[in-house]
Amino acid sequence: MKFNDAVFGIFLIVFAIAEIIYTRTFPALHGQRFGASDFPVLIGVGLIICGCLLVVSGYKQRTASSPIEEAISKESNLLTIAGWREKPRSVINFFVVILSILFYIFFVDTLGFVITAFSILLVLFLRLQNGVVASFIAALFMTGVSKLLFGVWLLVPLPIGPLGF
Amino acid sequence: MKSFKKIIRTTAGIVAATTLLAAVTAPAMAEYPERPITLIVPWGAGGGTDATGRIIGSLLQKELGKPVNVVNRTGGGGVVGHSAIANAKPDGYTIGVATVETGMMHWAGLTDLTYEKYTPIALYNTDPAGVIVRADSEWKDAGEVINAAKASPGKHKASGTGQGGIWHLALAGMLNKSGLEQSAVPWVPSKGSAGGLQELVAEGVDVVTCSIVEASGLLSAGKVKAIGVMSSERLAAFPDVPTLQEVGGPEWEMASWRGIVAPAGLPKAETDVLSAAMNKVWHSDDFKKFMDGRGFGMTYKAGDDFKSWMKKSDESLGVVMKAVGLAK
Amino acid sequence: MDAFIGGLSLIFDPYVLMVMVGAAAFGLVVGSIPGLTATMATALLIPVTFFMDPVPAIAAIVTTVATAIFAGDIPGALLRIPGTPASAAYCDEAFAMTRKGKAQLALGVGLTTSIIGGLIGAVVLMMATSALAEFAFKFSSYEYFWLACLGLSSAVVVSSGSTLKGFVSLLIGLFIATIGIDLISGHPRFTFGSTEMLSGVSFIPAMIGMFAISEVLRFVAAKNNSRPKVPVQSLTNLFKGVGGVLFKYKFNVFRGSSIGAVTGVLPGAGADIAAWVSYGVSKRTSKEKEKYGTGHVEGLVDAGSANNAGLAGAWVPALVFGIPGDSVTAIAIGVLYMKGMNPGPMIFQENPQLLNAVFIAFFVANLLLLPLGYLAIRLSSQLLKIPSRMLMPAILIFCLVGSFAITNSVFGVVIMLAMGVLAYIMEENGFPIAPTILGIVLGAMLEEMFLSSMIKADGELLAFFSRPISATLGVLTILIWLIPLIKMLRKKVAKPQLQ
Repeated sequence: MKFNDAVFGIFLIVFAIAEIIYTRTFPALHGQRFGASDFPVLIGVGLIICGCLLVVSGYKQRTASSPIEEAISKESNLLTIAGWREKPRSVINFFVVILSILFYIFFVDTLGFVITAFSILLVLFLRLQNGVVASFIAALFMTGVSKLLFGVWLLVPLPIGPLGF
Repeated sequence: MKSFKKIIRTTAGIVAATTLLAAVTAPAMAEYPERPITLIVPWGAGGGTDATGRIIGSLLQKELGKPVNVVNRTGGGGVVGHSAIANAKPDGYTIGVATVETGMMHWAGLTDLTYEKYTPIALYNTDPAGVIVRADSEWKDAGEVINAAKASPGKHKASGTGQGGIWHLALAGMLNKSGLEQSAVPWVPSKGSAGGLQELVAEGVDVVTCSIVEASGLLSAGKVKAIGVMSSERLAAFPDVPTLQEVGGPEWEMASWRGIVAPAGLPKAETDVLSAAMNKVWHSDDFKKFMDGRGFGMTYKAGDDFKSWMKKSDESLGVVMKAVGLAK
Repeated sequence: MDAFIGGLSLIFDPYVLMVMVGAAAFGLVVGSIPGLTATMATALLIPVTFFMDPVPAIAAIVTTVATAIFAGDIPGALLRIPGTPASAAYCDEAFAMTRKGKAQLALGVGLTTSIIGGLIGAVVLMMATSALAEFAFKFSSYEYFWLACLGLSSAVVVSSGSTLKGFVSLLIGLFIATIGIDLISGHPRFTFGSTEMLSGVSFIPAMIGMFAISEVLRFVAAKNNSRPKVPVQSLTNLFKGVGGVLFKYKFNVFRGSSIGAVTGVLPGAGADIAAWVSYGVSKRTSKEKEKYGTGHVEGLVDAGSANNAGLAGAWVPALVFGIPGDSVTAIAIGVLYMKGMNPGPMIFQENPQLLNAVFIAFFVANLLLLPLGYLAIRLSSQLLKIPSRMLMPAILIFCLVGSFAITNSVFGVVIMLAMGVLAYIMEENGFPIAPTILGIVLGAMLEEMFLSSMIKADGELLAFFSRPISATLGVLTILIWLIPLIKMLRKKVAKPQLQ
């Protein structure tokens, strides 16, 4: 997932402006001349300057496409999804990882650690082209290890599910 | 490689069997407590609340016969941890340490959490604010500090914690009661009392208002001196330090406190078990030795006494915070 | 001298030594698991130390921390996941070496420099405890402000590639550091009404996300075999070539250890910042700057010795004044009080043997690191044999639990995910992530020290140069910033003449 520098630059500028506007809602410090908004505003200004420079460099990349630099000009498309189209499996795996973290965030408190971790591990092992039996065993093993290591030995209060583990 | 797989398989089998076994052999319904208790500390590892919380955790474990796991839920000026205690299930398996900030956060508009969201178990500690200056300072008592602030407002700076923290309120209230503006002694926010004391010794500020205990290391090193305490009478641990009134200062008291609480709505049976255990812990020699060793003030109030203490503290903090413009 | 011998006999007691070996093993395990820090290891020790005498209790803490900080290097080098924040500064460098098949050298150098740094730190602690403590107390917010600036100036240095993108990355980190309740005003910033957000972006889950999760994402998103594989390599001859490296960079070992010892003494600075600063100094002064970031061992020598040297330093203000240098010593102070030994200058008179026992414990802990660290590296080499398709899900689950363990809530996991995706997008587009991490580490300190200095000085900027140490640090910082600019201008002037 590659963007042209100019896209980043514009994004940074918009973000920084929104950030600076938001800091206007911070109250002034009681009895002081300095306050909560000073530092974020400084950062915002810095981001705007960097954003402008990125836009310039991104524009240069785009116009510099001579025949020899064809390879580079490919990179300078507004968005390059490197090799993603040829390999849908990778795209799916990418989102499977993100979705499984989201699954953990939303369900670990209700399902408990053991069930959640086991399901995530099983799905991921399978998606990464491990055998069914191997995936099952590995998922069970890793769930047990992490539960024992963190939950029992290191006293991390891992969420407990409806079945008591 | 094959043998490696075999090892994995065997281990996995053992792990699975143990997990199942543990689930099956869980004890049948018995008297509270039947499983480990979580004790939430709303401040970071290493601080005073954490230290006292961990001691109480170990001692409660001895009393109750079940593990008491101390869990730090830090951040947001105590809001995160205090909310976590209040929002837990009132089943006696989550308790926590509540601190004086319970009565400050809602006035500052950070949360709508108040002491009413808790079942009080026991108050175990109070530490009044002190007035601390460098050892070579010309000030000999708190009255002189107030006079100096009157004579040249804005010249002397003070520190001790973040903006709107308990020790800031201690100073703010003292100035307010002396008829001074807040700008008479500007507050320099710092990371806790340790940061404020560092500034004081490095000659960055002129006075620190924090509990005397927190400065005890520097006191014995002769780097700083305590010249006043904001309470109605002198402290047993520091009998040489006069109260504000003794030296012509205003009638003003401010103290931090810590107590064990549970979420509101805890059934009476569980409350009684915990209160009895806390009573024993507080009166134990181990606890006394620890608290005296570090110079923490020992105060004990259980049940409704603790509740009315929290109510009083909440109201007086509200008055100061409104008076000095720190309340929303 | 009597006190020293007294201290020796306190440590060389079979029971104490046994406790130390146990603590070292514990530290190695905790340190090598991402998300579990040296602080957490110490906190977990408290219930155990409760039943011990003071000397074994303190020795256990010292040993655990020293081994945990080294162990953080192992997953950093092998998997690009720093085990503790102190390893974050040079994690990329070490992993680049592993990619080149030089994991053995990276870990060998990491282990030996950790031990040497630790020993030098202990010597410094022993020789100059009271003098160093006095020095630390000359630091007010002005001096801390310049120190933070010095740390930041290493940001653009530690980043490889475009300077502009490194700067953007740093600003992103500084912005992330402003999220949460503001210490100076007590006002919540960028939290959008969320209670969990009040505590801000915790550093550990952020670090796990940026290093580990982005790595997992990159693995699954890569086309088959297009990603450079980490070569399987043996880690049996751990000390092969280490002697040569140490001899060649002997000055770096000394410099890293000194920077570590001095930074460690300052309350609130500590081993993490020591590693960043010394890595930055190393790159800036090196003759082979261009090799940094590609798997060059020189920076490892500096930073590896700095973080372990910094550990001992943090005990100075803790023992002498009861002001903790970091959260580990804060807990240690609590343990000392619990044992009826109040830190303060009186400890020199009242308990000289104990004080010496602490110093000797540092020596012994670092010496224990040699066999135990060696063993840990040998065991961990098995990691490289596991195929990535098996390893990645396992790493993910460790990251989930590690992030959870810091905040004890799923909020840590939320931070981890957000930072992981951010880091993935940044790296795909040539933005280095090290400056972001540094911005998160130093941002809060920089802002706090700047604003409290301004309040103290009533807005007078000259006050930043009004004290001897702050003036020295300030001038030094500005020089460091200006020199590359001057060099650049000179080149620009010189170029047309050549043509």
